[in-house]
Order: sequence, then C-alpha cells, then structure tokens
Amino acid sequence: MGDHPQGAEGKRTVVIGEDLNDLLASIPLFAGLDPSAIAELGLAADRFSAAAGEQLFRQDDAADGVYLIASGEVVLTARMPGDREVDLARIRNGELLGEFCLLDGGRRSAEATALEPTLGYRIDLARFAALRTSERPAAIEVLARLRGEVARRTRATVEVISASLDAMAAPRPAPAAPPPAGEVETGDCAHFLQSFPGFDGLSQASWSELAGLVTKSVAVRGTRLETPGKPVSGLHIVARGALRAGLPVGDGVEQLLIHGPGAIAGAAGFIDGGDWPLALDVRENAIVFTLDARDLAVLCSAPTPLAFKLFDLIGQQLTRDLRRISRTRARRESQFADRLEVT
Amino acid sequence: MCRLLGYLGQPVLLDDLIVKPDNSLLRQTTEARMLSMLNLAGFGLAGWDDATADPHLPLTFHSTQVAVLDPNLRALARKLKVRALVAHLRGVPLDGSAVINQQNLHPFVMPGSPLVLAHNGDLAHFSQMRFALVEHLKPEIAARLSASTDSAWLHALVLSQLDDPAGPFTSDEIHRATERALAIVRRVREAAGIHKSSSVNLILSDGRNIVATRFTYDFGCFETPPAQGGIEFLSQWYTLGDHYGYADGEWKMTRGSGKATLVASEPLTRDVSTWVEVPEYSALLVDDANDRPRRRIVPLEV
Repeated sequence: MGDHPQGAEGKRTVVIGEDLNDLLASIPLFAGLDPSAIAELGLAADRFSAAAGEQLFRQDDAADGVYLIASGEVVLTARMPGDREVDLARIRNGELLGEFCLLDGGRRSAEATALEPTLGYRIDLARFAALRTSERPAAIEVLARLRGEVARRTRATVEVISASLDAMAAPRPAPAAPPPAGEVETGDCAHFLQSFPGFDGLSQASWSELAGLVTKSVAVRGTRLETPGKPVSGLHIVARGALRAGLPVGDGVEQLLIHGPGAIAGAAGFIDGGDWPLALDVRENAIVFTLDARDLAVLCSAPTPLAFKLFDLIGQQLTRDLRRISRTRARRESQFADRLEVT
Repeated sequence: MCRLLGYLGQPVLLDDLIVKPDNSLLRQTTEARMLSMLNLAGFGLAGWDDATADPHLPLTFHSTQVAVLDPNLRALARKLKVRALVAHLRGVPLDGSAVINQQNLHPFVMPGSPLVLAHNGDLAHFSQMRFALVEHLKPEIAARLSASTDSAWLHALVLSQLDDPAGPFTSDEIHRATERALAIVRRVREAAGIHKSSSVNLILSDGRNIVATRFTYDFGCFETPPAQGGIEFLSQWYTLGDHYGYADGEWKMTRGSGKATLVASEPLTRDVSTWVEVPEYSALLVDDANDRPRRRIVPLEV
C-alpha cells in the first residue's frame, strides 16, 4: 500500500498504477465492496491524464465512462443560452466525475475541463456494461448505489426548485373535468408495453412474471396517483396517456416532468424512500400498470431476469428524470432568468 | 410531421438561419435529428425586413419543391436579411393521402393581417371536425380560407379570436387567441369522440412578437403501432442571445443584452448545450416592445 506523500495544500497524491484499488475503495460509491469486486472494477479502468485547460468531455458528448480523479482538479461547467457558462462543481482527488452514465449510457450534461495537470482513471462504459451483463456482483451493487445517489440528488434538486417557487411560480390549475369515457383498449401488460424501448427484450417468462405482479388501472385526467408529502406507493408504468409529476403550489401544480407511454413514474421517490415532495397526477386519460412497493421489495430479494431488467429500466428513468429536472432548475436560476420570466 | 423555425432580433441573413448551420432547416429536409421522418412536401417562410414596402406585413415565399433542392430558395436566402422570421418544412405521410399544393404550405398568411402561423403536428380525424369549427370563424376570415388542412384552419381559428386580425397585437393577445382556439378544438374533439394523440406545436408571429407552443391533445393515446408524437412529445427548443452567427467554430447565439430569440423544432446546431426545451403543455412568448425583448414561459392548460 505504501505511504501517500502530501502535496501542496495537504492534498493526497496517489501514485498511479499502485493505488488504483485503494483509490476505488476510498470512494463512497465503492466503499465496503469485497476486494475481489474492487479488483474487478479496476480491470475495467484505464489511466488518463489531462493538461491544464484540456477538456475531458464536452456537454452533450456521448458518455464513454466514469472518471476517477487521482490528482489535480477538474471543473464542471454547463453552457446556457447566450453562450453563458455556469460553474457547477469542482472535482478533486478521490472524487468521481460522470458516474451516472453507468446507469443510462446517456450524453454528458456538462463540460469537464482540467484546471491543472490532472491524472486518474476512467472506468470504461463498455467494459462496465459487460460486467453488468454478466451479472457480476460488483456491477450490480454499484448500480444499486448509483440509483440511490440519483434519487437523493433528485430530491435535493426538487427542494431547490421548491424553495424558489414563491418568487417565480405560476402554478398550473387543476386539470379540467375528464371527458366522457370512451372505448378502452383491452390487453395484458405484454400487449401494451412490448413495443416500448427497454421492454421489447423481455422473455415470455419475464412477461408472465410481470403480469403476476402488476395491477392494471384506467385513470381519468385529474386523478391523483401519488400524494405529495407521503411515501410513494409504487411504480407506475405508463401504457397509454400521460402522467405529470409536479410540486404542489396553492390549488395548482408546478410541472416538473411529463411521463408518456413507456415511462416509469415514481422511480426517484421509491428508490429514495421516505416522504416524497412531488404529486403524481393523470394529465391525459391513462392506462397504467402499477407495481406496488411490497412487490418491488420481493423482486429485490429474489432477483430474476425480470428484476435485473426492471432495475436497469428504473436506473435509466431515474437518470433521465434528474437530467430534465436539473435543466428546469438551471433554466430558472441562470443569469438570463431575469429576462426569461416563468409566469 | 414538419419542422419549424422562428426568429426575432437583429437583422440576420436568411442563409445563416436556414442553410448554413450544421443542423439547418434545409438539412432537416432529409436529416432531421429529432424526427424520424422526411420533410419533402414543400417549404414556406414569412420574413420581416424594414426596408420592404409595408414593413409591418411579411415577405412570403412558398414552394412545393423539395426545399433542399430548390435553387430559388437558396438564391433568396443569400440576399435577404430578416429581423423576424417564421419558416416551415412540410412533412406528410408518404402514402399519397396528403394534398401537395401551394395553398397548403405554411406559414399561413391571411391578406391584411400580419399574424402568420406554422404548425408541427396534426389533428387526428380532422375531417370529422372541420364543419363543427365553421361557427367559430369570423365570416370574413372564413371567406378567405383557401386551404383544406387542419393547420390552415387553426390559423383561421386564431385570427377569429382576435378583436381585429389586422393588429397591432401584444404577445398576450396572440397567446390568449391561441388558447381560445385550442379550447375550441378541444371541445369539438370531445363532441366528436376523438381521443387520439394530436400534436399542436405552433409558431405564430406578427413580426414584433412570437408565440411558440408545445402542446398535444390526449398525449400518449395512440392507435397501434405507436408513432412519434404519440409516445414522444414533439420537441420545441429555444435559445437567446444578442447576436446570431458563426463564432468559435460553431453557429450559435452569443452573449450580450439578449435581443435575439431563436425557436425551432430542434436546435440548428449539433451542439445543443446552449438550447433549452419549451416545457410540455407550455408556450414561449417573446415580445419586442421598446427594443427590450421580454420572454416568458406560460402554461397551456386547455
């Protein structure tokens, strides 16, 4: 293991190559993992170096992996309309950068630039995906922890928006009375969901398992599915129509998310646990398949191919939702907000 | 399914808006990034240039030619500077059901009114609605309606909700007229038992204001197989700045007092980081009063 010489300002300097596993084990996302699991993750990592001023990635780039900073400093910035830039965070020794791409393989939501000569490791996205596909315990555990972290950050972002609402909100009124009921499309969950991205790869056995767990409901516009300030009752998979997640303001709601067909609503609240601040209402007459919290807990304890797939989809939904809520927050807070009123 | 573009700000060469950017409107004829559909059924624009006669009324251009192949459009774009613009690429199903003619091209313009409208989306089963909408049109507007499409009727409906279609207008007046028109369509749909997802992304402008909606009736209620617009909310993006042009190797708005607004179905540049989405069920209102633009996001709860 060896000594770790202190650099300037007491920063710990990690010797590249010798201390990768120590570095991984020191990061909260990986803390407590079995040493063999740590070593497995280490095999998926490559060294990287960046000169001062060098970009590690640009906003909206396709994600290629997670960066572990061993020495140096990286600044995360977001570009906004008018070519303005907003500093989001400084990432230093022993910290991670871009870790949410492990959940959805999506595009970068910010730009990362080295402020000084920076060294570290990059856990390659494709190699991590191979660990996940092989159901390696390290990958499964890391993804579970990441889902928790995304849910926690979603709560934090929602709370920031909520605190700003007094000055900026014009809540949407309660939805209009529903139209007369028409014909309702019939079919089981496979009939409705199998054409949606992510659900299209489920086996017949998984569909049968899912059908035994979900409750199908037909909900008219204006129905409240989740009450703010209470724990979410479960996950709601939208088959037809749309749901709206929002912050209650007076008699109305400040819209944060619209969940259309194929979306899984309630993910952040379920993963984070506790009382959830958002209301979930039916925005358009909907057909919804609901997994209640108890059935989800059963899935967690006896993982099946369905469970692995479902939690993959939950992870992707979580990350998409956090990106969208973060963009809403940035739009409301950015410098040009004084010239872009939210009424 | 169409692509839209609106602009309000300092005069800009039309070429810089519809031809040169790496995801320009013309490129979206065949390579739209956020729509899996070709837009081959023609092109139209309404532009405002204070050096033209009757500068409060737009200069218009409509052609059923495939836009990316149209030499007249490219020649016009290299010469014309506009301070306001609404442009539209028309996309229709390739099954031969659509009528391709000059009258059905957007943006729709009514003689004597500066307010133009372009539409991305479609009203499902419109043929069942058309005649129920007649009573909501002002007779003088109905008399001038020459096109047969849902989009043209939306334009006529909005104009009919204004006290005086000749203007001038505020952005609030245009927004309220649009809201009333959408509410009328909602009632007619319900009376006809129409519950299929129907997108109504609009850009309206009178050369001094822009109202851009991102709205869908019965979003997520589609008939199999699922179609874009039924499972994904059609996109509408905007960006702000002082000057639009080519800088630092990319087309973008640059910072400043923020006099210019660009709104479009999808960002004009491959780098979308300086663009923001109009929220679902919302409208972006832009007005140019006293040379100090005001922009607002307002809910559209119809």
